[in-house]
Formats: sequence, C-alpha cells, structure tokens
Amino acid sequence: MTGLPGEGLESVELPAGGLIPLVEALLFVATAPVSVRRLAEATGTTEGQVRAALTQLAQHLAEGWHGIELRAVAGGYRLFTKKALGNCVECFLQPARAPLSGAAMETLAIIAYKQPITRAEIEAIRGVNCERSLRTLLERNLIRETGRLEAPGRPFVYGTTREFLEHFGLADLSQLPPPEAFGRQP
Amino acid sequence: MGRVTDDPRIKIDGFEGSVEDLLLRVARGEHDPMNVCLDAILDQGLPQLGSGEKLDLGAAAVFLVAALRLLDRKAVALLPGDGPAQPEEPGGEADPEESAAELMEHLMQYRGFKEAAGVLRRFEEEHRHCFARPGEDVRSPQDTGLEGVTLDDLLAALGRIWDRLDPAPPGEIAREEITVAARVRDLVRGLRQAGGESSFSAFFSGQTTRLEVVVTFLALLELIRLRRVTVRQNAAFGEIWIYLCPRGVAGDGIAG
Repeated sequence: MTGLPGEGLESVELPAGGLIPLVEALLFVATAPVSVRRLAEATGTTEGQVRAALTQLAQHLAEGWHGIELRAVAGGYRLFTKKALGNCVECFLQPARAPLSGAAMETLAIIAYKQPITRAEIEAIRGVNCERSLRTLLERNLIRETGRLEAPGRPFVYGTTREFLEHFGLADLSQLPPPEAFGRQP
Repeated sequence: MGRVTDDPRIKIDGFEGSVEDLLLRVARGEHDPMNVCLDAILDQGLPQLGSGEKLDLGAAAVFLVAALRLLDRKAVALLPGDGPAQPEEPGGEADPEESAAELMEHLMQYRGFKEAAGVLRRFEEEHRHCFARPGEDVRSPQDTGLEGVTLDDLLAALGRIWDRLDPAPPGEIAREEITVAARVRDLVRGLRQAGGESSFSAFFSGQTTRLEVVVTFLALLELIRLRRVTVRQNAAFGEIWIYLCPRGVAGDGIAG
C-alpha cells in the first residue's frame, strides 16, 4: 500500500497499524482541526477505524521523546507542540499573541455563556459600555454577529466562533464549566 | 471563592476587598452604608488602576460604576423614614428594599461572569504554550488584509465607479432582493474563475444600479473582514487589486 487515499481501500479491512501513519501524515499537513468524518473520507475507512487509529496515535505521541501530541479542539483533531516546550517554540515562531484584557475577557465570558446575546444585554450585565471590547473580540474573530434580534432596532446578536474554541484549546462549548459552578456565595 | 481579576483592593473600617464585594455586603445588609467613605475608596482605588498610558480604562469604568452605586446606597440610607413620596420615575428608588434585592441579584450574576472570565483566562494560559502548524493564511490579529490600501483609497475608488453610474433609469423599478451574503458567494466564485485575482473596477463590472454597487462594496468589505481576500494598491491612486486568499483545511462558513 502506497497510502494514496482511496487506492483500493474502500472495501479492505485496514488494520489499525496501517491506518495510523496515514492519519498522522494527514494531521501533519492540515492547517486546521480535522474531523473524524473527514479523516474517514480521506482514508477510505470508517469513523470507528479512524478513532481507533487516533487513540493509538495519541498514545504513541504521548511518549517522552515526541515533541508533539494529539489533541481534540474545535470539533476535530490537531497536532500540537507539547506545552512544556512552549517557551522555545514561541521564541522560534515569534507570533503576535497579545493576551486579552480583563474587560474583553469578561465580555467574552458573558457571550460564551449567554449566546446569542445583544450588546445592550451585555452592557446591562457589566454596567459599562462594551463597544471597545466587542470590537477587539470581533477583530480577533473570537466572536461574530450570528444574526439579529426580532425587536425594535433589530440589534445584532453575538456568539462565539470556532476560533474561540481554538484560542482556548476547547473541543467544544460543553467543555466550559456549567453556569451553576459560578456565582456562589463567598 | 478568591478573587478572579485584579480589581483594586480597598481597606476601610471593618472591610477589606474589592469595591464590588463591599457593594454586595452593603446590599445584603452586612455592612452599614453610613460607614462607607467614598473619599477613602477613591483615594485607595484610583492609584491601583494605573495612570497615563497605563490606565486600564475598562477596569476604571467598572470601579467607578461600583463606587457610584455605593454612593447611591448611602444616599438612600441617609433619607429619613420610607424615603420621599415621589411619583415612580424611571430609575427612581420607589422601594429601597426591592432594589437592594435586585442589586444583589445583579451583582451575583456579574460576579459569576467574572469567575467565568477567570476560568477562560486559565484555559487561555494553558493553551497558549501549545502551537500547531500555522495555516497558509495565518496572520497576526492586527493584519487587516489591506496592503498599501487605506479605507479612503477604497472609498475613492468606489466614488469613481459611483460617478460613472447612470442615475436611476426611468420607468418601473422592480424591488430586487440582493443580499450581501449572496453577493459574497458570487464574488468568491467570480474570483476563482478569474484565477484568484481581480481589479477593483472589474469587481464592479456589470453593475448598473446604485443598489448593486453598494451591495457589492459591502460584500467586498465582508470578504476583507473574513480574511478571504487581500487588497493591494501598488501605486498611489493606481488600480486596486483584490486577491482571493488560499483557504485552510477547515471551512470558514462560506460555501463555494
């Protein structure tokens, strides 16, 4: 097997050992999280087989002498450098990754838990104007306008984006703690 | 629950903590509002917010709002008996008891979100040391996709096209539904067919009405915002060029 996608793979029971390198190669070149479904299509296998391969791949990579690991983010899988190596990798890449300000983070938390939500509703909770925070979050593509409220003025409603999940390393929104966990009496 | 953000901490008679914690205590009746000295609060809190270039405007706004609410509570406490007999005004304190409960609920809700923000902060901190292969079109958040082009240049170019349009033709004008989203899809398809690049003028070729031109311009701005295109102008007042950006493996919500 030369590993070309679709090459006689459709009806073949592929052992997990043969699928692992293929999945690893696809994830290596991918520039965004890849879903299990997409991997299954690309390799001509079933989702169950892909999941088994991913599990084994994750175990292999978790071993000490690999610098990358497999993680689930934003509804798919992606290879990441290990956290312990972060400092050196960061210096190497020199990316511009300014952390969010407190105000922007609060605004983002409100949107994450209450989406879809209008600007007026956000400002009612925070008690202050949120225009700057909203602009920053929109520019960084962490939130987007998901529609309009059917009310006078038809204001925009906001929700979080896939980029939001990627920024925080979340597989999906359910990974956030439930709302009941917050606001307890001190 | 500990502090989740760096709110200014104040220390006055019998209390140490953030202004919002104080406000909560006052609203719950655990702290006498008469015992609250606004002067001391501002003197202690304001320096902690930074000054000049370093002033955290967001935190300052929140701090001041909380301080004003304390002032409000104190004012209510100062009024004799059941408070003045006023007609119900918007925002008027017709029933101090009730508004204290509302205030408390509101503060608890806000406190909840501050804790949630703290959780997000931890997720962010955890994840920012992990790097993945950057996408082909990876750019820093500050990159707008405009190279040598300002918004004024775009508007000037739009102006030239606008002037060339005939005024609304006489006769019946059917109200046509053109959505920006549909136009965005058309433009992406058109760019693909043109080999991924197009001049600004060509972008608008075939547009005869003002509505079409406006919708097309809005669609272009949307494409810039979504980072689906890069816009470049090589010479001052020269032709503006629009380039379709290569996409990553994952889609970005635009079909086609």
